[in-house]
Amino acid sequence: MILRLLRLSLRYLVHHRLQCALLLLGIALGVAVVVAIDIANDSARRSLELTVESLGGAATHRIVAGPGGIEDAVYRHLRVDLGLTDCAPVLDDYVSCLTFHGRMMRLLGIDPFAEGPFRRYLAGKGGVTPVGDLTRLLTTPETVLLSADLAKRYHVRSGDFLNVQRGSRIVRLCVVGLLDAHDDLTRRALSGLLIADISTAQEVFSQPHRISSIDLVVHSRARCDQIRRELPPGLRVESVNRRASALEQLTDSFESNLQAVSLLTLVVGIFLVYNTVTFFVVQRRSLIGILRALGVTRQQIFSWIVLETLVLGVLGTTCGLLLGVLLGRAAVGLVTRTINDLYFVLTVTDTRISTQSLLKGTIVGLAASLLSALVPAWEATMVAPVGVLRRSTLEGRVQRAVPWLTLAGVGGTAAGWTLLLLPSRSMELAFGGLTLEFVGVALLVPLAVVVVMRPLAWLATRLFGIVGRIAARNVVRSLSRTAVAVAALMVAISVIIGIDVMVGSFRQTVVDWLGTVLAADVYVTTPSGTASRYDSFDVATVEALRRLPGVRSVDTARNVRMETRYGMLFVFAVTDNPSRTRRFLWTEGDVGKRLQQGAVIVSQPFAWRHPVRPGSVLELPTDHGVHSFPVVGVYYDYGTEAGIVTMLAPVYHRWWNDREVSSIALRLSHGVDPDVFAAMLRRRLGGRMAFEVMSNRGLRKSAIEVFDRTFAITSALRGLVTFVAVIGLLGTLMALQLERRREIGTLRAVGVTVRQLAAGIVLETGMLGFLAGLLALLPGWALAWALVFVVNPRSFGWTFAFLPHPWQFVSALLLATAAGVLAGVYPAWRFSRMRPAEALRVE
Amino acid sequence: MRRVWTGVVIFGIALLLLIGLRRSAVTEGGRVRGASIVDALASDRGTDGFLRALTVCEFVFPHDAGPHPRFQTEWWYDTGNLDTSSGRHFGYQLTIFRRALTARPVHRHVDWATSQVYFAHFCVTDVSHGRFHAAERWSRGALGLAGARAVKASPGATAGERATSFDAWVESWSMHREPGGSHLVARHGKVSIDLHLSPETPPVLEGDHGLSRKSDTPGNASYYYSLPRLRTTGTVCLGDGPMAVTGLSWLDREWSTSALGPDETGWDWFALQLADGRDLMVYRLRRRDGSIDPASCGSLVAPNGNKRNLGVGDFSVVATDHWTSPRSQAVYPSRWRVRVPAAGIDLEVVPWLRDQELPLSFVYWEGAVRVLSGGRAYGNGYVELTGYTK
Repeated sequence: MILRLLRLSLRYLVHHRLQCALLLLGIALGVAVVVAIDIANDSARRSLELTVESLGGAATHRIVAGPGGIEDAVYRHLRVDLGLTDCAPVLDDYVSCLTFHGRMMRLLGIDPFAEGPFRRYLAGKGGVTPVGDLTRLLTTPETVLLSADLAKRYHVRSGDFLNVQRGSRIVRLCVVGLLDAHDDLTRRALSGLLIADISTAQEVFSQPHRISSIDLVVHSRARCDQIRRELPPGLRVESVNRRASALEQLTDSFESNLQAVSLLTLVVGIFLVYNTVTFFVVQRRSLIGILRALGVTRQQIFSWIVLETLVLGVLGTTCGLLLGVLLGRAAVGLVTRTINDLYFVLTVTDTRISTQSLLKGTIVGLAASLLSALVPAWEATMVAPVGVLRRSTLEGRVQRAVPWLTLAGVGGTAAGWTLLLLPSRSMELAFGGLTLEFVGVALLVPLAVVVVMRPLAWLATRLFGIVGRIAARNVVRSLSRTAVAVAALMVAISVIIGIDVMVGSFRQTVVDWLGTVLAADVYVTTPSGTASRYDSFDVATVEALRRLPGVRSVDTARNVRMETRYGMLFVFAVTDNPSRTRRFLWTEGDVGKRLQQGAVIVSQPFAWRHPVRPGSVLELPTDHGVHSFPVVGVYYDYGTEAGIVTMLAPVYHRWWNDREVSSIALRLSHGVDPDVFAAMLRRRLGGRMAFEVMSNRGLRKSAIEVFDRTFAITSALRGLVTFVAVIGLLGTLMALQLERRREIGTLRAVGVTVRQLAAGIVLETGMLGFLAGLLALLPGWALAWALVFVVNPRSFGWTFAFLPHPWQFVSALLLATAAGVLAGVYPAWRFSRMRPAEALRVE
Repeated sequence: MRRVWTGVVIFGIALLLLIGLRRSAVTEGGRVRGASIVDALASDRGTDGFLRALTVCEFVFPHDAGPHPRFQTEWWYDTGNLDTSSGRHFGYQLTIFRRALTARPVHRHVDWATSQVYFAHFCVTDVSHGRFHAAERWSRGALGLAGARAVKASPGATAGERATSFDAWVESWSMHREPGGSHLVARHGKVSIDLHLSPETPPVLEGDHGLSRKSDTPGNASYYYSLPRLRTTGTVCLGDGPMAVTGLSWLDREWSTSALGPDETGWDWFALQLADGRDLMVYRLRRRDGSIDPASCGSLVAPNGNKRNLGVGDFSVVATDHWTSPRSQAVYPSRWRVRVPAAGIDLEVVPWLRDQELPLSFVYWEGAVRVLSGGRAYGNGYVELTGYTK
């Protein structure tokens, strides 16, 4: 029997190809969104791990120093005087490889003789086979090894030259050998590296007597302590895991923000699946009634529907998984770029598709479609056959359920807000609250439709006459179908509003902040875009700039990344007292004076993660051992989430043997145009040095560009949500209209013109879209509020102003209406071509 | 096996070295697959530009105790037999090799830049426990990590090796020589030596006044001198406290660019300190066809320091037993009869342990041997066998 019924559904599906396709698309899109975001997150995390591993290899510990690096005599001491064998020197940093179209590569300087226990991917055993001239690597300056994969991708052969940009210099490196990886992991680890002898790295980085770290394999604590005792002050032994976890901790919050958005996408996706599946079943109530009348039992009908949904669900989910993988690949690029911009240069980028992501997508697809089918299937089988045949029974039930739905909706919304407002730092609570709130608001939709349609119906009648009246009444009359469609679109539109307002507020805050922070006229920086330790100017350059005509004063800043007991943070050493240019959350005493006395101020994200109050001290590893710096203020900063400790340059110089400068700010004399001056400077420095010279205006612009790039993934998600919602609405509304063939035929038969009919259909769907948009305004605003005041502080630790712009709401409303109108176009076109007699001949 | 990457590089360099010593097939150390690295390293990197041992040169000390970077290969080779007062017997070897990667010195302004590679082999033969400990270190000759240097003797010091001060080291393994003796230190894991050596004879210039020809082609030769009898005291440690030892050591100093001829596959080298005070050094250069190269030779030094050169016809070495290495499968001769008829020498040479194969980046046999004459103990020595691995 079931088999016969399935044959029936097959025929039905063939006859209703379009509805079937829309259903599959609905499920597929819902699944795809979930899978894509999951893949992007997963890959980003994996890239991070691999990048860390490609640098650290099998090292258990690492000797690190302050920004100046380690004197290489320390390594000699370990090897020769202490007889330590499992240690390897490393001098590494980023270079921009011009031959690879500006791709950032890690130039890893190593001593091949010491590499044995480390970096396994360099090892012969099952790892790689280096082919090439290793003698030249050791003896010839400016030679590197490269992974064979990279060489192939960029059409580079052994013996070719690579142009790399290092700070302000361009260096030509000769590829003297290719490393051929035999396993996947090795291949990935190698994909962002240029491997050079440590002497070459010293030359490229202009660090003739220094290395950046010493890798160790130490298995006993005693040995570790012994090494620690032998080190000069300023050097530390830290475990490699700690380094990795410090980085992970950083990107965690970024990921959780992404998760927040993906959770909303999930909600939209589930709504979409629910919407399409429910509709698919409800549509066949009359068919079910006929079957029941013919003697098919309730159980048979029920299992038939469930089985059919399952088959379609599997099909849709499979398509969704494939689509998700494709979308995920695109998203990975965006996510890793954001991480590169904000935190850490990921030299390894690869898409990783875990079974976990796919499983998650499968569960969403199958569970959502089955659950969505259960409710209407149960409803249809419970009612007596005659009742099922009458649509009004269903609509009547829905109308009666409105108060209960409303009650549940109010309850859900209230619970959601309670969770959001709980004083906690938990991201899970915030997510839970958001989800509850959305479910609650969605449950309020039926009531809202009934209420809002009344004035709308009046308006439509006034504007479009009888056509408008019919259209408006249709919306309320088929509440069982319209409410779900409107709810889905409403959720999507409010997500769009929420993200728009949040990003907009954030952006405006950053623009304002840049205005106060960037006080000088022209800035000279190194071009790599990474704040790394060897990217710097020397004192002579600063003096040369000071002597230029038109320059009134010069301020410098040193920006170094430091691993401390508080995790990775940036230390800013500035000559310009920041007490004047920064906005503070709180201060203690005369900040300007206290800073001169050796105190520091910290950025808000730092204070969020490591609460500081007046009187707190920070212990930082200096070149003269650990020193406690008093904290005298917390300032607003949106430059990096990593946390910044700012101090005055003389204080920095007292504790660190590092006189280099990361950026130079020039104030110009009266009447000197910053843009003209910057152009002149660029011309004069051009060719020899690759400094970036930017006027105040130019720097603001590029800062905002980085900001926009950071939110590229958010925008992409927002686009995806819009797309999913519009497709979903399109499917529902189209199906809704196509179902009305007979009604349309009747209307045509009583003399409604084609034009009137088309106008009526488009008007109806347009009204539904408008309705969804209208209903989305408030939840959208609420979501934005929650993102700004709850989710962002909890994940990043910074607060910014809540600056909703009316246009964000108007455009969302327009978008929703446009989606509605668009959904009506096809059915309108289709019916207008149908002959009335044919339309009436349904049964 | 842990130091695989090092293995890759050093394997290549070691092969270069081996190619210098013998032109036979490449050793498979089990560390690298394929011969691509070997090809890469060996090709187009010949001996052009290096100095060669062509003519007799007068050795000047301390200069010639130190490194000769214009020659490609050089070594400081200390071996010896030691005894504790309780009768435990040990053999030891501490060798520092220098290998130039380029003929011209590099001029770069960074600390790590160099074209000189140093490596060292350190072995202890523990006869009573039947154990042979072998280890190696590799390093670049830069930053003070490894190197060799001769320090000019103070004015007024007498000429000759005694008057020189000199250092050679690879990381923590070192040879430090001062007037009156030298000091060797090496430790690997629990095995270590700390020995003081004082020469009982002046340096012996091997071959033709120090020019030791290895084949009939001019330039296939090395500069070679020895200190064959060094009174040795110090300690050997195998993990449970240092043991005081005394004995005799032998130092070989050699530098060259291309020592072996194209047909030669390896050599058997004997350095025997006889109970009567004489020191016998002979080596046989083996050819591909199994014959012995006529350039094989040796020397016999009397207790008073008088040296007698031995030509290929003046001595005979006959292997009387063989041993197959379970690791490399190489078949080494393992017992010999050594005769120098004109000097009335007829000796049996027996390894203290059969397995004294160095399973390092390049594999060879170098071990302590005892000397028997007429069935009675008649001294100790060291034997080196290269070119037996396939």
